[in-house]
Amino acid sequence: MDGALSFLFQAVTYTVLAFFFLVNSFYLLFLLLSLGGVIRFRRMNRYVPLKDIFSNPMTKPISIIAPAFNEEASILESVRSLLALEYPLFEVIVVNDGSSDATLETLVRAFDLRVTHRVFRKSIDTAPIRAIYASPKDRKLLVVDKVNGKKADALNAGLNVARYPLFCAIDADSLIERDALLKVVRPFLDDPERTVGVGGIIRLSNGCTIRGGQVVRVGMPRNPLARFQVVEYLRAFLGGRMGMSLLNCLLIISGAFGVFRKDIALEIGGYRRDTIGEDMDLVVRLRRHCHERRRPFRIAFIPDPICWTEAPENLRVLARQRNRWHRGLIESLVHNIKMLFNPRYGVTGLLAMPFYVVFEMIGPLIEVLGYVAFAAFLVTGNIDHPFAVRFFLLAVLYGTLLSLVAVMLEELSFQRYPRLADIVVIVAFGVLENFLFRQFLAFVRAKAFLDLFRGKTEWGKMERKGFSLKEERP
Amino acid sequence: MDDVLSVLVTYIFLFLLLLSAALFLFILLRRLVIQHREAVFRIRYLEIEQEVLQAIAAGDISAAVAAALKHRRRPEVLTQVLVNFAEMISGRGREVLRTIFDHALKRRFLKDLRSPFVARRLRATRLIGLFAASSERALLVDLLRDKPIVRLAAANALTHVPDRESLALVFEAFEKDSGPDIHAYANIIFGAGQRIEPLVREALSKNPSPERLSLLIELVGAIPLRSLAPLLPPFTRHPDKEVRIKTAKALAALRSPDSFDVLIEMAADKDWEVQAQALRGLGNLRNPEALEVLSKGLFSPAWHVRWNAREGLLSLGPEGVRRLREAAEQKEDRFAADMARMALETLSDTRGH
Repeated sequence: MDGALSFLFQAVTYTVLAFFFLVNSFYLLFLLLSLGGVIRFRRMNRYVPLKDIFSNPMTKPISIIAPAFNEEASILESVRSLLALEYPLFEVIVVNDGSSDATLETLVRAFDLRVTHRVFRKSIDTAPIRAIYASPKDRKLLVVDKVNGKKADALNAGLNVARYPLFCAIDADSLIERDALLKVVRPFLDDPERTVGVGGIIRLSNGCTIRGGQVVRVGMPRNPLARFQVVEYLRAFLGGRMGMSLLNCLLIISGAFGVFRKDIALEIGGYRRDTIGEDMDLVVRLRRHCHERRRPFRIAFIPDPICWTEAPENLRVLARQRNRWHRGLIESLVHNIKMLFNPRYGVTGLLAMPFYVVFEMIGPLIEVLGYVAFAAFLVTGNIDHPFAVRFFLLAVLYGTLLSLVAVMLEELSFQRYPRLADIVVIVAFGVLENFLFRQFLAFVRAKAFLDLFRGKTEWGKMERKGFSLKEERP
Repeated sequence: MDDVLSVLVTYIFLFLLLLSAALFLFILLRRLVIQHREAVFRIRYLEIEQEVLQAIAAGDISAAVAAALKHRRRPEVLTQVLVNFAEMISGRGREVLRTIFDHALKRRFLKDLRSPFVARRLRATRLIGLFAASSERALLVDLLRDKPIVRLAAANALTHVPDRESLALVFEAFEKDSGPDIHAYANIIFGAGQRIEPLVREALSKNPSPERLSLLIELVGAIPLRSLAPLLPPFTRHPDKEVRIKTAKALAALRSPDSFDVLIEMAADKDWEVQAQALRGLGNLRNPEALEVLSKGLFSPAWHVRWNAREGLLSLGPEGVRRLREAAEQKEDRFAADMARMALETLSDTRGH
């Protein structure tokens, strides 16, 4: 019996160890790839005149679709920021997805909205639209008021109403930098046939000073939870997504800021309504669609156009958010499992899907198994304590190294954090996240399997401070 | 086994610890150096900017030469100043900028054109493109054989060289190049404006591939090259749908009254995309004879055709509005009625303001 138990312990130990080193090594590889990619991107894009896009008739107009559900705290600042974007021709479609707060009323008052009988092509089925409002103050703005049908449904309603060939899906609680559209649209100008979607980097607005819908001073948040997320976002976007984009196997363009070709999105029926990870799901299905039709395509990530979003500042909300993201990821991957290891789907089937399934989807389960086993070994005395301590320190160090490389990426590329102290804080939190924060997220993500199995489909309430409140900070 | 693993873990730990510490120190030191450099850069930038501004305001070439000679040992700052001014200034002021560039930076960037590093060649090509003169043409032409990204930058630079031969070379590259996406060339060629007319005329007669032909026709409408409008009607029956769409679109943009009959014919094309563009063109012409075709378009099963028909009817004044009212009141086609109602609503909105 003892022998069997010991064998089991050893098997679990080595599985977790192997997984741990593999996943971190993959991330290190992506980070190193990104390092080269970001530096090259910066060098190659020096002295590119963005203003030329204004005079270029080939520039395609963009419909910005912003679904809003109970966003009364931040909606005005967001819409003003959207209307002030620099781009030759665009429209802003805010879809009020049956908000129970004063989101619609706030918009109606601020922009003097009036009901319009706008006719649109209903390419995708959605929950009923109650009314469409236009603003005589700003003809670019359109507000669609509809019965609640969740975010994917709201985006589909926006897609139906959108007039332009490109659409930009954003979160209504995000702020986009003024020239972000000019930057993100460049792949569509240079390679309009192949480019299907382009995503930009998401950064956290917590701790930043915001004026007139724009971030005017970048700073570190005071809230420790938000600080952990700053490190995480740097690693995920500058490292993970940039690296995957360079290998042409990007499976996620964040729902907070991505531009897509409308015709192809409509060909696949828009956003899938029965998923809560609609952003990832759209990209995975776009890839699948293009592979199945043997159509050359490109889905790119550009590290420069920036979208600012507010990170949760308490554990409960963070847990809800990450749980939802993970449920979305599982749903998208399972829905498209046909592509896994299928050579017909090229790099998507042979690299992107296996990576996401093994490391992103199942990863948290293995991580949690490791933590549970570790605790069990401690209790039963089946562990060499000095080795365990050294191994744990090694794990912390490996994680810290990844964060340091991400900070280095930030420093070599865009240097958005102006103070030296910010860099020290980011590095410090890159070390500290290995104690409890990382474990907490692993448990939350593992629990997502259970929630999904139970049939949980709700989003969970997000609590926002709103950008205008943050302006008052010193 | 455990001992070996234990020693291995210890060594890996030490290695990672040293690597992380070194990386952290490197990040901090680098940041300090950069902050110092940026402060110096800002001071020098303001100083150079002031002098360049004075030279531009006075239109004084000798002052420009003096500024160039004084600051040529600060190429990074001077380049940034010139690039920032170049985005805003044309005419005589541009001459001043070009003089400074020629005296302080040109030799350096000409050398960079032969650099083994793509990023350097690219940067040099873009900068020379900003201040290009005919004398640089041969160098830029050589770059048309470079990697795609440099090739496109060279083509872009050549469009800024003020002679016809340079444009002809860009056009030749566009016709031959199978590397980068040809749409990028279209963006470049557009920048040349009316100067491109004889070359487009010649290219249209050469029977290019449908993809290139579509782009050429699109350019005719986008620039716009009105003198080429008579060359477009033969393409209205082209077997490629994209060519027909672009032809209708170009004719719509050119607003030539002579294209009325052609557009009427295209409004009956088998593809709705062509119909939609033709109706848009008819609306642009504001010819009352198009009333029937536009009214019929309002009842098309295709949304875009209905939309453009509505726009056309709105542009035809009271008679168009009357047709819209009729469509809004009829009960047989609710899609046509909706579109007409929305058009009438737009009209009342506009009148209200």
